[in-house]
Amino acid sequence: MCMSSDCRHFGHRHSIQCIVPPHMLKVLALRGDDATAKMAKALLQQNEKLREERAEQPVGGMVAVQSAPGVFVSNALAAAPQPATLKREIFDGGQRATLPGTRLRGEGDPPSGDASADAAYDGAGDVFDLYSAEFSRNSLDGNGLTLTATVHHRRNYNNAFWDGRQMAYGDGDGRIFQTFTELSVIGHEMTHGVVQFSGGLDYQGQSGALNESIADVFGSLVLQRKHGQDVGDADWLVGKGILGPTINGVALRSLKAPGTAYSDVLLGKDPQPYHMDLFVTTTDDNGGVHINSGIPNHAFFLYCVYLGGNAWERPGQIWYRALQKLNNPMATFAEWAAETVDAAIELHGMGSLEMVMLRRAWKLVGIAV
Amino acid sequence: MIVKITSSGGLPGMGIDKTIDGGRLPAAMQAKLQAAFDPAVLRRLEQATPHPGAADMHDYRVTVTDDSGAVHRFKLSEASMPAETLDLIDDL
Ligand SMILES: [Zn+2]
Ligand SMILES: [Zn+2]
Repeated sequence: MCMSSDCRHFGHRHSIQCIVPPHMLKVLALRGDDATAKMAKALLQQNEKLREERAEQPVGGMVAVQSAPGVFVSNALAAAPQPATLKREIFDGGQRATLPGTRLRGEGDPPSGDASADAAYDGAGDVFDLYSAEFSRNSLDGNGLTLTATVHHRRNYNNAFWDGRQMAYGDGDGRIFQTFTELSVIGHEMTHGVVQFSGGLDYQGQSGALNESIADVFGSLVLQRKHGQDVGDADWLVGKGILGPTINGVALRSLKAPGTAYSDVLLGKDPQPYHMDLFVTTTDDNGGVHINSGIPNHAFFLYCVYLGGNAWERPGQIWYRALQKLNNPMATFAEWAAETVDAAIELHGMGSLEMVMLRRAWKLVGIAV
Repeated sequence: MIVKITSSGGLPGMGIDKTIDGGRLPAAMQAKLQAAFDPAVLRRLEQATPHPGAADMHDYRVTVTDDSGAVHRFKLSEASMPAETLDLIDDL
């Protein structure tokens, strides 16, 4: 880990607290040698100041557990649930790259008449509601963070993202993609925020693919809960209907059948594997984070099928708890799988059906735990 | 100046592939291109680190062939590129 370089993004320059998440600094302050601990404490103090200034959102959101020194969990699990405070701000990017753009609709405002803006507004509400009602989480940071989204980002932009502070949605080029303000996509992007504020998962290789998978899982859960679909009713697709009218495909990804969402001359073939034997090694896409996410995605799907009922209930609770307790931004698939099994044991007991079936699901995608 | 841009990553995990020949642009556009893709500027942007929580943003690989024929290669994160440069990529 580099402790001395500067971080630069969005045209501003600021120092290390941006690169090393606060919870890692806390670990270093506790466990590092004298020099490291001293530096980490100094950086934490700077970080506090920065946080007060609210110049940008902090990354970690982890707190020490009083009863177990050295143990860190996300403050969303540690603290008593906060009352939900939904606040949305939707901006029009005007097809340009500058963020956030022109304010179109704030919390409680009537519909703007811009279909993308209103979809982003409604979708943000649905995602907020899932996290609030099912996981007692007050917004993405567990602390009422304002949900900021820009629609009409850039021109012919075939993408949507979370930039560390806000969501941005392109309109698509009309050929390959026709929209990005679809509910599972909105849930996907916002979940990247939840991951960030839960300690983070480094956006590279297996930890990056886990970040992607968790975003897909909760993106799908938002949709399933919104439509009251149980495991059997759900289509398990992410980004259904966002592909262009002539594209041969149904969605961006399928948790049920990774690798089958599309096959098209323009878009190519859905490259997702469903088993470790098919793990893709590549330097593109941060080491295939959008590709290998198919493996943990499929494990989640299989587990949901084993248990039946509503996926956002038992499976969702286990995945959410594992995310809050992971405390390992570099986690591998196997480490994440172990964390989910721990969560299943904590919630349902050693040897419970929930535990046994979870191990079976992971085994079926080639991960022994 | 010839600028070749490819991208990877993004939510769909797919990118663009674009070549811009500065010599074919109107003078004003050409000046914009020269300024935005000046190898010294790109080298500085290359040092930038995207926000650690950011996700689904593009990674750009930019190859600049300057007027002397020298070739410069860069790997840049969408998060660290100025909005004006991104607009230029979209417009050209
Ligand atoms: Zn930063
Ligand atoms: Zn993503």
